[in-house]
Amino acid sequence: MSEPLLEVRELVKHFPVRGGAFAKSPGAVRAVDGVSFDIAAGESLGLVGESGCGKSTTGRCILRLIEPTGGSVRFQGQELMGLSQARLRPMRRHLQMIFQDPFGSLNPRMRVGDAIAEPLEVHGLARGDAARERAGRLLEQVGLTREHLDRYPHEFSGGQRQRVCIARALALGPQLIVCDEPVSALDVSVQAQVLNLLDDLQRELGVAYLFISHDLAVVGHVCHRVAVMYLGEIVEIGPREAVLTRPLHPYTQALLSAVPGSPAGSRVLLEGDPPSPMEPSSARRFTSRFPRHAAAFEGGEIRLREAAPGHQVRCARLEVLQDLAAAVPTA
Amino acid sequence: MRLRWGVAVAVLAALLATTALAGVRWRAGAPSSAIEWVCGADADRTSPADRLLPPLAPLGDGGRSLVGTDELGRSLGLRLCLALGTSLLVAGCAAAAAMVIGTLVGTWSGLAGGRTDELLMRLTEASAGIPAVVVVMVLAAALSPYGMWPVLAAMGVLFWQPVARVVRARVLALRNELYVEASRACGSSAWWRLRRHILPATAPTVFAYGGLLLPRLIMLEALLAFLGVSAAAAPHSFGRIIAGVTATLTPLSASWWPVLVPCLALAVLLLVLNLALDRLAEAHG
Repeated sequence: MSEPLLEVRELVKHFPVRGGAFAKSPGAVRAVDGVSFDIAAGESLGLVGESGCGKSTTGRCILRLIEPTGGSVRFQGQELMGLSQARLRPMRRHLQMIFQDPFGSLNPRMRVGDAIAEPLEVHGLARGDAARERAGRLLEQVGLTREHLDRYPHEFSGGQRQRVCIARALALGPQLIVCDEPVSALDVSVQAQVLNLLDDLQRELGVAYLFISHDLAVVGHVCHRVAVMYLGEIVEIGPREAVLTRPLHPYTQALLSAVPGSPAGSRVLLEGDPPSPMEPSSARRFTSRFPRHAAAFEGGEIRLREAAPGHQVRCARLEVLQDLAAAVPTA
Repeated sequence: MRLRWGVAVAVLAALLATTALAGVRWRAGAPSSAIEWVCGADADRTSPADRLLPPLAPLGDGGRSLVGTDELGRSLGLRLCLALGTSLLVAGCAAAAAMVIGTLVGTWSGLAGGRTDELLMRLTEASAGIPAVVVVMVLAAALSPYGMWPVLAAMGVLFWQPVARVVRARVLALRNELYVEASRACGSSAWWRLRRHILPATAPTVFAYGGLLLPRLIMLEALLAFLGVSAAAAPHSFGRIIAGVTATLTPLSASWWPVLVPCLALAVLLLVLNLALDRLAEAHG
């Protein structure tokens, strides 16, 4: 494979937990704990997991909207981690973000046209009439019209606002867009439209997506590859078909069987309480929740192991998981 | 709604500015303020025969006094017009100074965070602990030979803390707004975000607070002048007029009118200002 567009290696973000005035800090929440993946140009990688597993933090760390504790993020071979904010700013042209909340991510005091033109002005690419012209074209590209340029965000529905946010993200012609739950705040009827728009834009412009979502259906709709996160770690990553139809990791199976309508017989249920995100990773965080699969996490080092080309599963003994998966027919 | 707020601010500002300018003497000496020029009269002209007259009383020169005369026979109406100018100019400039200083400190504190924020806020609290009235009195007395500008500066410098605190709170909230983060994600600099997103959203708060300061500053200016602190600075101000006529008041004196008129004028000014500001706040929602 040629050099990937984005290479994330051992990304770590720990949020220190403050103790009382005299108590010593009880530790840190390990929101992201050694995450690695690649994204190729024009590809979309889905990042799924339950809320609080660190998927949004991962997205923000890659763009350095949150300063990561450690690890490396290379974009087109250029390391982003050591860059000063001033050196990072020109790089941001190529890396854009779409946020979950289309109501909060547009300035209520700014006309939509100005909001879309802002990135152009920031990077000195266009201003005045030229910027307005480009904003108009971008609006048409996302399925709105030029008449919307002079409206304020409150005049739009959630789906329309998310379209405006997409137009804004596209303004600089980025190569990668981090989509942080871009449709989870929208009505189900509107979700499909926005997903189709993202899909069409990818085909048209060849932009790559890091698609963060808790919704497996959404990820299955858009993504080429899927990574499943659990407590700050990737537990399974691979091609969409492999991860979503033949999952090996019990956590992925549990997520899939939690989707309404999945066959009752194949249900994998999580047991006990989620382990504390402050504890360092250990076998216990798996064995306590998947007692039936405990054997796969004992008697070896727990790391990502290759089950098939491009399909990796975090465990200690892969063959146990493969045997269990073969025994229980999954959906 | 945004438009109404903008128009209301503009109207109020224009009103204050013209009133202030009409009543301000830019140079010492003969009729130089607009209002004196229009009336063709001199607020400083004394007339011992016409002392302490009630409103509409006939004057020695055949005319009638509109709202009465003061203890030296000067026209109270004209003096009150000049006092209005003094009051509004002093209060307006002091409020503007407080707003500028408060906004600077507040945004700096809110954006910097951490130790700078702690330091600036403790400084703000410490300076809020200084009894402003006393300090202004001392400063005004010490600086009175230099005209009224030092008084005004001293007042502005001493009233910026509430503005700074409100601005800081607003900036802290805005800094975490998603649209500010979105602006950062598209590559904007801190200065850009301040200019395009944070300051425009802070402005209404600043103006609302500056407005609240106006009546307080007008009262303070009147108090200082009444006590004779800024005596050399402004010959015609509410405080000085009230002080002058009050000094002539004795239990046997029948001329209570000249005291009532300036007090009433001051009260009406404050009432009108408060009502206008209330209406503004309402329009702003």
